[in-house]
Amino acid sequence: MKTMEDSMPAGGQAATRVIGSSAAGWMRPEVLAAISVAFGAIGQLIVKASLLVSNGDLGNSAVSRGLLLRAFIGILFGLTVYAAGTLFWVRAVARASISYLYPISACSYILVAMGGRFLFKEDIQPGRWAGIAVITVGVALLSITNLRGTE
Amino acid sequence: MNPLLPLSGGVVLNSVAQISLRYGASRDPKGGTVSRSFWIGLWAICFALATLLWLIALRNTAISYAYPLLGAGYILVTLLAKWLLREKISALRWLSIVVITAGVLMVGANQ
Repeated sequence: MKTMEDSMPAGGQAATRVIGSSAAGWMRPEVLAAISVAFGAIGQLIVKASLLVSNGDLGNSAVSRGLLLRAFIGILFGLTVYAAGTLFWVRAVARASISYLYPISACSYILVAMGGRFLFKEDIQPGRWAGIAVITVGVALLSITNLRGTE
Repeated sequence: MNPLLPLSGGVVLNSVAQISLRYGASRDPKGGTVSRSFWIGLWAICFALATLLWLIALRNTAISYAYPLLGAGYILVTLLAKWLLREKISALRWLSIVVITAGVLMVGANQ
């Protein structure tokens, strides 16, 4: 299969940022980064859902032990999904610069907040939404400073 | 328990973990090559404890409140990188840190 690297001129690091290359759509680093962000957010939401399960009565009964076990497995599963997202991220940054991809990962704050709103019916005031947006902009801005090569 | 307690504890530990990893992963680790495993070990311990504190914080807190506050880690890591690692922080990067700080304070004020 023709990969992204195959279609790139040798040594052209800037060329790895070209959008709309002939490479298969799902191979594009932007897509890999987006999958990574989605996995990260979904992983956190699974962890939160599992913690909500364990918020019930934590007595000594067999029922609550079953609940605890479910919560524990859920937390491990959520963390695993989160870790899997990191693997997609590693593949993405192997193909394009981190500073180009990081603004995509800054979107995780918005994804997680939307998950909290729609899955857990969290009450998010306008001030909190604004703060989340400001953090997203700040993280994206921070990442593009890498373009200057301050290492 | 105030969720800000485990949250800030987790952010501090995670930041220490990142700096430790930087020390341990450098070609010439701080304190000689023997100390490489010390820094990697410190990273692992801090990272594990930070994850545990995150779970504690998240248990009774809205994720739309707790998760954005983790952005405070960018602020702390940048400060530690300047003070401990002597990294140069560009003006644009300081501006980003100011923006993130403002966002974290806005979220923090809207529990």
